[in-house]
Amino acid sequence: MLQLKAIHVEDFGPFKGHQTIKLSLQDGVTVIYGENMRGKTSLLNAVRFAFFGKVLGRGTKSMSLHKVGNWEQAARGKFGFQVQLEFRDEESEYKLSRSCQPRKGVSTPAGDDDYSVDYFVEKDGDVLGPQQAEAELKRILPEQISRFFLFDGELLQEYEDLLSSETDMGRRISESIERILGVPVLTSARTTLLRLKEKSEHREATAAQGDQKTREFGNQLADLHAQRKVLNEELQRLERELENSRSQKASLEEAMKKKERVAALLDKRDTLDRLMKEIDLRRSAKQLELQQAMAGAWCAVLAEPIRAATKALRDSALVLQTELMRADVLRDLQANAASDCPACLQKVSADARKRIEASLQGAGDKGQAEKRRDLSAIQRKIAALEQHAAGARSDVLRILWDAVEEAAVDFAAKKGERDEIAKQLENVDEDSLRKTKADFESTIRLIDVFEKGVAKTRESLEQNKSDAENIQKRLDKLAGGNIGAERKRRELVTELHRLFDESVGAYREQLRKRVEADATRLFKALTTESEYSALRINDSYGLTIVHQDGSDIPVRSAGAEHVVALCLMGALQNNAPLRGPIVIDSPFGRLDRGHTKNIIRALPTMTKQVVLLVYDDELPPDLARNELKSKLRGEWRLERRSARHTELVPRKD
Amino acid sequence: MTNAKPKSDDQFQSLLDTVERLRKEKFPQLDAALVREILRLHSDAGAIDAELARGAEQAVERFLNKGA
Repeated sequence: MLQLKAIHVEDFGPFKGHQTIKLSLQDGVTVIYGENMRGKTSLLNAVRFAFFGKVLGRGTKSMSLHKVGNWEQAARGKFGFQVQLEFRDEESEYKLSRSCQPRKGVSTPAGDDDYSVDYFVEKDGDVLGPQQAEAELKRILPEQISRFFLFDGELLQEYEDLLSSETDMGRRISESIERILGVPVLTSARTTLLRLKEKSEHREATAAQGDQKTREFGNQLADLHAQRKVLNEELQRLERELENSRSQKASLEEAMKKKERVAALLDKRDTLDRLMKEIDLRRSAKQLELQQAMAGAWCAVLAEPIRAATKALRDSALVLQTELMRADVLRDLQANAASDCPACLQKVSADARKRIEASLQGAGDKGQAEKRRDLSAIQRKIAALEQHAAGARSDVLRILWDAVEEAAVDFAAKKGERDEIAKQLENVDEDSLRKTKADFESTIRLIDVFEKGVAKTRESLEQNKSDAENIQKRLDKLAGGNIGAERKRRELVTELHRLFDESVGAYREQLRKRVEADATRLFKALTTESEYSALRINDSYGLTIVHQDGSDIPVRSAGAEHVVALCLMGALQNNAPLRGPIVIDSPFGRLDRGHTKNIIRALPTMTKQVVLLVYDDELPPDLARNELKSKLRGEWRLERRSARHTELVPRKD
Repeated sequence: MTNAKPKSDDQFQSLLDTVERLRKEKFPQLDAALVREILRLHSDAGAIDAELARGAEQAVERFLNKGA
C-alpha cells in the first residue's frame, strides 16, 4: 500500500522557501497542528497538487494556480512553486515532483496561462518516461477515488447526498465508491464480453450467409447486427452526453449552493424593484386624483355660505313648485266642471268654482310662465352650488392625501431596503450568477432530452435483440458450412457474458453488506449515543442511523453527518483493493470532545497511515497523546513567521 | 496500493470467489480457468480497452482450440 515518507514544499501557499515534513512509515497517526490561516489546507493541497496537478479551494472547486505561489516571494519577483512527495508502494520507493513555473519569456505572470506545470516520477532511483509515469500514478492513486484519501470537513458533508438517489453529486460519489471497491473490474469484464458476444454473433451471421440453406437467416441477422451497431454507437454517444450533462449539473448545483445567499439577495432586490415600480404607479395615480380634487379645494373656504345659500334656494324652489302645482290643479278643475276635488274626492261646489276662477284670473298665464322660469333658474343655481360643495369636501381630500403619503412612505422603506441589498451586492458578478442559473436550467432541459433519447434507443435495441433472437432460434435448427464452430463460440461468449453480468449484481450486494457491517462496527465505537445501534446502507451506499428500537433516525446534525461519513470512509478503506494514507484537514471542527476522543482512538484501525491537520482547540495535544499513545507517530506545528510565511517545525512542547 | 499482483490480492480473491460461486451454481458448463483468466485480465488497472478485448478474445480462442 501507498505510504508517504516525506512532503517537500517550495513556495507553496504560506510555505516560503523549501520546507520538509517527514512522516513515519510505522502504523499510526501524525498530527500537524496549525491555527486558522497558517496553511493546513495548503498542506493537504500540496499532496493533491503533487498527485493530480490540482489545488482545491472552497466548495471543492479547482483554484487558480497563479494564486497558489507564496505571496512574499511573488512580491520579490519570484513566482512559481514546487512539491515533491517521497513514498513507498509495493516494495518500491518513489519520488514524485511536480512544479508550476512561469513560462519562458514571462517575467511577471498574470494568470494560469503564464505558467507551465511539469512533473516527473522516479521509481527505485530510475526516472520513468512520461507514459509510464502517468500509468504508474493512475495505478497508485487514481484521481477518481482520491476523495477517500485526501479530504476535509466540507468534502465529508457531501456524503449526505448518498441518502438521496436523485442528486448528481450522490451519483458521482456512489460511482467513486464502486470504483474504490473494485466493481469496475467486473463491469469492465462484462463490457468486454458484450463486445465479444456481438462480434461472435456477427461472425455466425457471416458464416450463415455463406451457405445456401442458412443464407436468408444470415442476411437478416447481418442486417440486424448492422442496425444494432448504429444503435449502440448512438446509445454510447447519448450516454456520454448525459453523463457530461449530469456532471455539469452537479458542478452548477455546487456553484449555485455557494452563491445561494447572493442569489437570494438578487431575487429580493428584483422583487423590491418590481414592488417599487408598482408603488410608484399607485402614487402617481393618487397624485393625479388629488391634483384634480385640489382644483375645487378653494370652495372649502365658502362651504358655510354655500350651504346657507343652497338651503335658501331650495326653500324658494319649494315655494314656487307648490304654487305652480296648485295652479295646475285649479286649472284642471276649471276646465272639467264635472270633476271631483283631487285632494278630498268630493264634488266641488259652485261657490268654490267661482273662487277658483277668480284666483286663476288674478295669476294669469304670464305669471305662471315667469314662475316656471324662476324655478328653473333656482334649480340651476342649486346644481352649481352642489358641485362646489362636493369639491369642497375635506374628507375626500384627506383620504387621497393619506394614500399619496402612504405610498411615499412605503416607497421610501422599500428603497432603503433595496439600497442596503445593493451595497451588499456591490462586488458581486451578477452576470456570472445569472449565467450559472441559466446554464443550470438549460442543462436540466438537456438532461431530459438525453434521458428520453437513451430510453428510446434502448427500446430500439431491445426490439433489435428480440428480433435477432427469434431469427437465431430458427437458424439454430439448421446446420451447414462453418456455422457449427461459430455457433459454439457465440454460445460460449454469451454464457460468459451472462455469468459476469450476474456477478456484478451479486458482488455489489456482497459489498454493500460488508460496508454496512464495517461501518456499523465503527459507528458503535465512535458514537456517544448509546441508543443508536447500527447504520443501514442503501443502494447508493448512503448510510442511515438506526435506533435500537429499529426505527431510522431521519434527521441528523452536521456533527452526526461527519461521524457517519468517517464510518463510511473507514468501511471503504477496509474493503478497498487500493489502500493508502488518509490525510484529513480539520476533521473535528463540528464534533464534541466525546466524539473527538472516540474518533482519535479509532483512526489507527481505519488505515495504516493517518495524517491529521488540526488546530489546538480542535484536538488538544494532550488528548491526542493520551488517546493515541504509541500510535502517535509524529507531531508537527505550522509556525507563523508572518501573515504570508509559515514554517513547518516539529512540535516539541 | 496496487492490484498489479492480482493472484495474491485479497480483492481479486474476493471477486473471484463471487464469480466462481455463481459459475458453479448457474453456469457449471463454463470452464473455471477461462473465467479466472478473463477476470485476471480485467483486474489490471493499467490495461486499456483494446488490450482487454484482445486478451479476452485470445483466451476464448485458446479455450475453443483446446476443446477441438
